[in-house]
Amino acid sequence: MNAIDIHRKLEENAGLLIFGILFVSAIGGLVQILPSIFQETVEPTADTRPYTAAELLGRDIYIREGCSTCHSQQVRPLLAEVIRYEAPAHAGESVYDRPFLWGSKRTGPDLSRVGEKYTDEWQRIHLIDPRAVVPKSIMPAYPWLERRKANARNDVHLRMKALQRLGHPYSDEEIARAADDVAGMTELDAIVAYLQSLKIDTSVDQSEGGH
Amino acid sequence: MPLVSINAVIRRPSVLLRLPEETRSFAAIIKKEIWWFSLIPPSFLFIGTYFFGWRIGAEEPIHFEWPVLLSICVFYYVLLFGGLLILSLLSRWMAPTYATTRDLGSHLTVIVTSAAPLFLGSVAHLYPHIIVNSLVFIPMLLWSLWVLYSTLPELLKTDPQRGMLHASSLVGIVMVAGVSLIGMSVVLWTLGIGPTIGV
Amino acid sequence: MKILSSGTYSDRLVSYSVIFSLIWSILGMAAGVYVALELVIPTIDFGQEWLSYGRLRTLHTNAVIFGFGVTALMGTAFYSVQRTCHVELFSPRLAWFCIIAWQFTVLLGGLSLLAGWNAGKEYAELEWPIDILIAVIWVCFGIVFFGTIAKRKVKPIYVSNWFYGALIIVIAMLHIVNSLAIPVTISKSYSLFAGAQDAVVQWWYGHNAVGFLLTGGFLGMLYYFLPKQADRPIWSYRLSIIAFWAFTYSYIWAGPHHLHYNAIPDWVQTLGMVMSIILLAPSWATMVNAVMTVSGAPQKLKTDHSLKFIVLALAFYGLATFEGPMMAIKSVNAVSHFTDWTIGHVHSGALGWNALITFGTFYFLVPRLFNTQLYSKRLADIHFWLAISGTMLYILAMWGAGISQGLLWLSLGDLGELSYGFREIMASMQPYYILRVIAGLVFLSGAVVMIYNFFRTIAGRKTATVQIPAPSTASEQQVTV
Repeated sequence: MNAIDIHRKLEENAGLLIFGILFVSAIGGLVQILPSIFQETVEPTADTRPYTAAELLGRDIYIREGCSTCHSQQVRPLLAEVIRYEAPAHAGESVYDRPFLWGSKRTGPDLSRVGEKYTDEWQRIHLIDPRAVVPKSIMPAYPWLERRKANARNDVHLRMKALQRLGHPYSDEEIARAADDVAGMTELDAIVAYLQSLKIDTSVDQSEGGH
Repeated sequence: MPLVSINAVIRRPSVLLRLPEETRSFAAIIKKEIWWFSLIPPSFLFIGTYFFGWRIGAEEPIHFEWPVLLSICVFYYVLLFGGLLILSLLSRWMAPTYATTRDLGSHLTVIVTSAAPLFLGSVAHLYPHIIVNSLVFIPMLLWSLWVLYSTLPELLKTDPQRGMLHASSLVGIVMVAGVSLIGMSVVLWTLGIGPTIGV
Repeated sequence: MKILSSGTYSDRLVSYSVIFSLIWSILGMAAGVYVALELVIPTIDFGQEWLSYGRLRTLHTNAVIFGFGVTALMGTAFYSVQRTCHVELFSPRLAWFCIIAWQFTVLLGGLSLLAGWNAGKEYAELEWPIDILIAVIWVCFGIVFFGTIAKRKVKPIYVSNWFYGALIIVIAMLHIVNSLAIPVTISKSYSLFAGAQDAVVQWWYGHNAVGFLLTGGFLGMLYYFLPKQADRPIWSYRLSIIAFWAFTYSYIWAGPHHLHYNAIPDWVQTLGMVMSIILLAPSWATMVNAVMTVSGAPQKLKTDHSLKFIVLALAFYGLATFEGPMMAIKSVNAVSHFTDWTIGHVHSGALGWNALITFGTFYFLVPRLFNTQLYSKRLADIHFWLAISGTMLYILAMWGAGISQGLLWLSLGDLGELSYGFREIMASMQPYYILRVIAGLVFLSGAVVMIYNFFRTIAGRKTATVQIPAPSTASEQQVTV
């Protein structure tokens, strides 16, 4: 029986066809993804910690507004890129990032090392009206961020609890006082807190490259 | 007989369609036309870049030392000359599939007539500003496509439908060639053949 | 032609899916043109969140992929599976549910995106309640499709059904795994995966959503509608087999080429690169198969506008499936990653391949579904020229922008310092972004012309009822090896 005859069997049996497709298409994913689950668990770098309540809310706003569609958070170990953004990314820096926000487009600059490059005040003005500080900017303005309370839905403790369940090392009392920690903060405060937390990880030996 | 390529853009389409009666050999077209026709865009580029520099939107125009500029223009010439020839060879290679003539001269005529609007539009290189060149390039490209689709069947002695298929295959080849050139030049730059980039 | 005593094809739902698909195409493309304009004039969101680029761009991608694309795939799958199996759909009611429920899901999804519900993963932004809806409808899609195949009157399963089948099975696998998340509130969840692991899972999903939805599913469309329109069998049966399995196997591995020089292991990146290059072979094998099929029946092009679009779509398919593997090479990717070149590549596929082959298929379907002639061939011609112009303009604009960005970002001066500031490079993108807006408008106007043409074609008519013919033993199972 040659190959064509074998294939005829597959073509005449829907069940075999379905199984064949599933089997063949599953292989690649298993090979590429499983190792990261069972063998190569990535350890957080010494400086990496879970996001505080304010930073977490800020990060979720960053996701909500689609900031990732224009800003990356992944410095590649290419010479010119390292000169521009200082330190290449290390996998241990993103262990608490759900989802990861490395991005796939730089309409605007990479933000993974933006923390404390600009003052809080600059960040606020820039978010409310980008063209006030960068005249040729094409970034949209986000005036509504200063009109809303960061924890308006009163769910920051629920968010931290969910992350705790996923393994983030939050203490119960940290979660209990989360609402108080962010009381009175606007969404603008939260996202600025998040952006200022994106810093170079000085605990990583930069000569070893990306991972 | 009047020059194949200039005819394409200046004379009326009826003149264009009389071309099949006056087919010339591949070698004749190269000797009489292609060698100097391909000189047009690089010459404009040399002159424009020398005086104005490349204006790609950065604050300062990019200028080159004349030996470097010359080598860029020579490369451009080789690309155009070679491209016209290779495309006509590929076009002839596809002839059995679309039942078109196997005469190489006819295929080269199609390629040159279709490319003519673009070659003449390269006058925009006299002021190498990105917006100016884009605004000229786009209508020239559309004109080229129109010439290709409307004259290929007659020039290659086939019916309109097979002609359309053949023309679309050529469009596909040109796009793949274009992106390959982009890819190759990028790889060359990252290997150090070109301005310094920090990869 | 012997008529089977049982029934007629379920075609009314196909007509509805064509119409819905076209509506989403206009909405999705209009959103695309709007966001393209926002990148030139950023203040046209007028301070409104729902018009903000970050949300509207996501609406654009979701509307065109899930609205325009999936609806077209469902409708054409239902149309072609019935005819290749010579039976009516398994459970027409469930099929209707799929079509209608899907429209509601896309609408709900779109509104949720504008409201800011966003899971933060590309092409998987819809939050968990809608993910569940998608999964439910998808399972129903599978039941109808494979159920129809199970009751077929023709023994061998035709090749277009392998591709539609792979679409259903693989997308189910990808969607379920990538959407795994812990819900916090109705509008917010956190991904089960984090950091580098999430990146690999996301792009396993993201690349194969392109592979099996945007490529595989539409290849199913190609394998049915092209031979139908050309009135000739597929050129090489053997090639279809090899290409299908090579395609299904290799596409899955290509995901990591989205993560070159990112913080994932080198071996995963290299594997992704190598498999992406290998993928070129089955992709082009399919293209050759299709081109050779059409070239055997050129006279059909005279009367059939649909074939013109399909032929053009094949040229762009060749471009996109060549460009992809090329951009997956690490040294090319070092320049192209994060730039507009990637966007250009996406749209050469989305406009050049997906949109054009769908339009071609609709030009075939609409007159047949309503048992009439196309209202105006001249308008179809105009659409053809607008489509090719818009697509080429888009690609060229983005090639210009992308190469420029990529090389300028990496440019170093004599002393090893950066030659250009980021802001300077970003500002120089403006002419390319303006060209892109024009390209989008040209392409969109072509689609509007097409819809007007269909409107005049369909107006006042009902879907035709078609008796199911008995399969003729000779022609249905003829293969050309």
